[in-house]
Amino acid sequence: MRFIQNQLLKKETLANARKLLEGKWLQDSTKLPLLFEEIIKPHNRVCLEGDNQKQAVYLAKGLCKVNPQIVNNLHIVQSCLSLPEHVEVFERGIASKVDFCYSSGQGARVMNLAAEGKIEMKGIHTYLELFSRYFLDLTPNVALLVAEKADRAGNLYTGANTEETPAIAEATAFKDGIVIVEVNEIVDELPRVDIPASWVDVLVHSPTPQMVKPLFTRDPAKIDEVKILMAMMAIKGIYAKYGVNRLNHGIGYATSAVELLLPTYAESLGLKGKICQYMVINPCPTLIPAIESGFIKTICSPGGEVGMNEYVRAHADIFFNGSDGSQRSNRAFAQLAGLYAIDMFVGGSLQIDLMGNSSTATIERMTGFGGAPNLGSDINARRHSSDTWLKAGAEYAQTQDKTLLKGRKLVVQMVETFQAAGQPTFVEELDAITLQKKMKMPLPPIMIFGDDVTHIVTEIGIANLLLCKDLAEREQAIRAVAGYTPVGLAKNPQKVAELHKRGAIQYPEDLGIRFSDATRDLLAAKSIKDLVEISGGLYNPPSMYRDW
Amino acid sequence: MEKLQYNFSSKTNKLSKFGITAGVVNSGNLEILLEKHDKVDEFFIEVNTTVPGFAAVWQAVIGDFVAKYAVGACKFTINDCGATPAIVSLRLRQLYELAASDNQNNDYTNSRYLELNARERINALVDGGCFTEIMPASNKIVSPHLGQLDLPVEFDDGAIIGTAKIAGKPVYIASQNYAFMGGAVGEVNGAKLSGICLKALKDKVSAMVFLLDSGGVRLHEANAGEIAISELIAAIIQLKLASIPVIGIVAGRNGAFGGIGIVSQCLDAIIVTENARTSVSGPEVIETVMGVAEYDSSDRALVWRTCGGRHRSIMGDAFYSSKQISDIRQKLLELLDKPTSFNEKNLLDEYQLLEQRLIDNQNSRDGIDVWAIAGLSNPQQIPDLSDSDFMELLK
Repeated sequence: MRFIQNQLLKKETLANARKLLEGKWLQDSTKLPLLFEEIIKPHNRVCLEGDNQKQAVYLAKGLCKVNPQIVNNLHIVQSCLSLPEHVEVFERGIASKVDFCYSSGQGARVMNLAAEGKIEMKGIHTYLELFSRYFLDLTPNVALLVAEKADRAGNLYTGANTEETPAIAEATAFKDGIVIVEVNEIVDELPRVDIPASWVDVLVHSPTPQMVKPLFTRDPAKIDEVKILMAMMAIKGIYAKYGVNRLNHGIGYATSAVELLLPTYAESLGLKGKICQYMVINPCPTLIPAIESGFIKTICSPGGEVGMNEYVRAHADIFFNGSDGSQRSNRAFAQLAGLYAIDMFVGGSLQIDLMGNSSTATIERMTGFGGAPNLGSDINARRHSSDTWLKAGAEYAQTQDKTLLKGRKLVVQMVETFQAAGQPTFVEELDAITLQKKMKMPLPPIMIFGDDVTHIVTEIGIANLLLCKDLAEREQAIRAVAGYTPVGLAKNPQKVAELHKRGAIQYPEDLGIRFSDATRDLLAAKSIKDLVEISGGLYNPPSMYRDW
Repeated sequence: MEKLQYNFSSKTNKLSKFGITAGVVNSGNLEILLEKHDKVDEFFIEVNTTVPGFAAVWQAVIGDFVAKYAVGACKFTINDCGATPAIVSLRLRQLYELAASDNQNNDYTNSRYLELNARERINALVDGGCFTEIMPASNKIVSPHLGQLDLPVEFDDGAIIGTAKIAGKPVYIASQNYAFMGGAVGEVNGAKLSGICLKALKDKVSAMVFLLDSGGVRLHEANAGEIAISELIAAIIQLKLASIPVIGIVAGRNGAFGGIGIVSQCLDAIIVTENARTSVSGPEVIETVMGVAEYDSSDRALVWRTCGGRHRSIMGDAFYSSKQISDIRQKLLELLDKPTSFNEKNLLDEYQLLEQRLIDNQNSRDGIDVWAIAGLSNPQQIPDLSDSDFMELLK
């Protein structure tokens, strides 16, 4: 009996909840708060599923209605704090501690509550760190999850937006935790089983369909000439130079511009079949022209994207789809691919300092990290080689006068020198440092460490940090591409000229690119409607993106 | 607003065009006007900016530009609305390249109406190189109101007017700049629009063409704007009474709303594309007044089903065109040849038609219901049909 206490407790808890259930199903959905009061104990670790795109909204609303006298001091362990309810549970005194990854949209509220002492911030993680800890010391006692469909037995279909649901369910179910799932649709037969019924303890029918947010949709109409210029430089000066075939893109307009230049500009340079064949990325609509022109062979997706399901279904050669034909995403494995399998990460940031450290934290809000720190980190544990990885490693080894022992992952920051008029991207000191002091954090919230960054692309040019001998050179290379920001204006022209001569800095003209060539005519699609047409009508954009 | 002025010494320019502009005045962007300067080895530039405190940055950006280009005897004037240095550099170079190029850049065969600015749209539709602008940017007749509110002005005040030929026929044409204040009408802008109509009347041209792209009246000069709209409608009515065809094109980003929505319905005919929208109250206004349950303005598919180009064409309020410039121009040519008549009987018939429409659609909740009543099969599929399939359906 000594070592099965949790098993016994789970049995007893579920027995007490039986009166509200019919089999595994909650009979009367108005009794949801009562069910929670039976099942969730004070100080429990609870995952209230908040992924990047889908959230257990119905369960979150129910949890906000419990009596804080009965359910309190919960320790929330989930990747995203994105719903108002995710913060409300702290305001109401139902939860008091949090381990999370990302707080999109709720960043300011989370910070205020932390400052007031209503949230004890335990740790901010990357996705992989949090999932790893689910299987070690942060296993949820109760997981409140969401699925698209369930059959009567409680098998679940999570489909294109599977994301991290199986990982949370597995950690919880196999450690005697209780798994509660909200589903919108109950069917006799599922298209396929994403999570078996034996991992699920309680099911709740949610009256409203799941709202999935289109986080990865970028409207080509908003891509300006500056982004196009940067994309041209990146394609010619980095993608082509290193022959990058395995990569991840962030979700900014600069990387969207790259995607839309693949079938036009990159193809004109003869790069088809030479770059961008394997991508770790959500099914972004801006990838459609590149997929259609045969640029991309495989896409591994951490999540789905609204409106892309039919397109993905019709492109099974490219995506990971189930026997039923629909996509299955997997955040944990996609993040692993991003950590170990890609040769390049390209992303943007709000601020970059003189060491190349970057952060999206500002004085007002601290959003957390998500996946970028894993995707954008050089990894000492890598042992397999690729030409791209070795080429980057060799550049670095040669600059440092070292024997070549390992390659380098290309970690590229694509940013404009100013975020908006008057807000420079390049700064002497990151806001993250101020934030660290203000929030009494053990470390400043840095997204990607300068040590890992290999290239910075701005509208001014490309800084290749692999070719910088020391920190002083790195600083000058960064200043050189920082343009008219105070950081850029303070550059040492002599040092910069020297670095330019060595190729550590490249300007557009060095790559044979003229600013006047950077026009919207180069975009393979200029509007969302173009994307729909290129997809043969398979892409069905959400209404907010339509202009027809 | 902050005004900055700089002189730089520079080699005399070899430019061939003056009085031209690059860029537009909207958030994160700017407009630059090129004029002649009286000193051959000096470049003079004036910056009017909404973001004060960046004199050193302006000087550095402009200094780098002058170091690369011969701009002696040139004067640049900038109206800035918070452009980043990247955009400033880009616009400076664009203006220089535009002024240095000999070609008239009149090939719009593969262009898209949506992607073109107000002037380019005119040039794309009229006979090559024959557009002559009246009150161009170089006249600098700007809004007298915006400056008082500390807002940036645009040298053409968002309305481009002038004379041209289409298939050899003399027409007068007006085009709204959707990017400056949403194409909205103010005092100067409105006076330009009604003035070109009165000139058309006086000169008895073949037709008056409007390229509409506006949300209506500028809040910042509301009274002047409202008066301008009524003057414009009066001028249009005079043209109609004189049997001079008044044709509109609604194919831009903002469509035609508010006062300009009313104007669009006063014309003899309008040509619309799939992305066009025209109505009186904008979706956001309806939602604010009637509540989101009545009309959800964020549901853009619904917006287009209730005031989009296809809906207007089905209702017989507009002529439909594909997005191809050549197709829009072809439709315009057909309408120029169509005789128009404007009299009391036509007006009464129109009223009757509208009354009947209200009766027929008293229970309609959506464009789809209206199309079903109009006798179209599979109405829910209409928004997703290709242009050619939709035009087939209209027949």
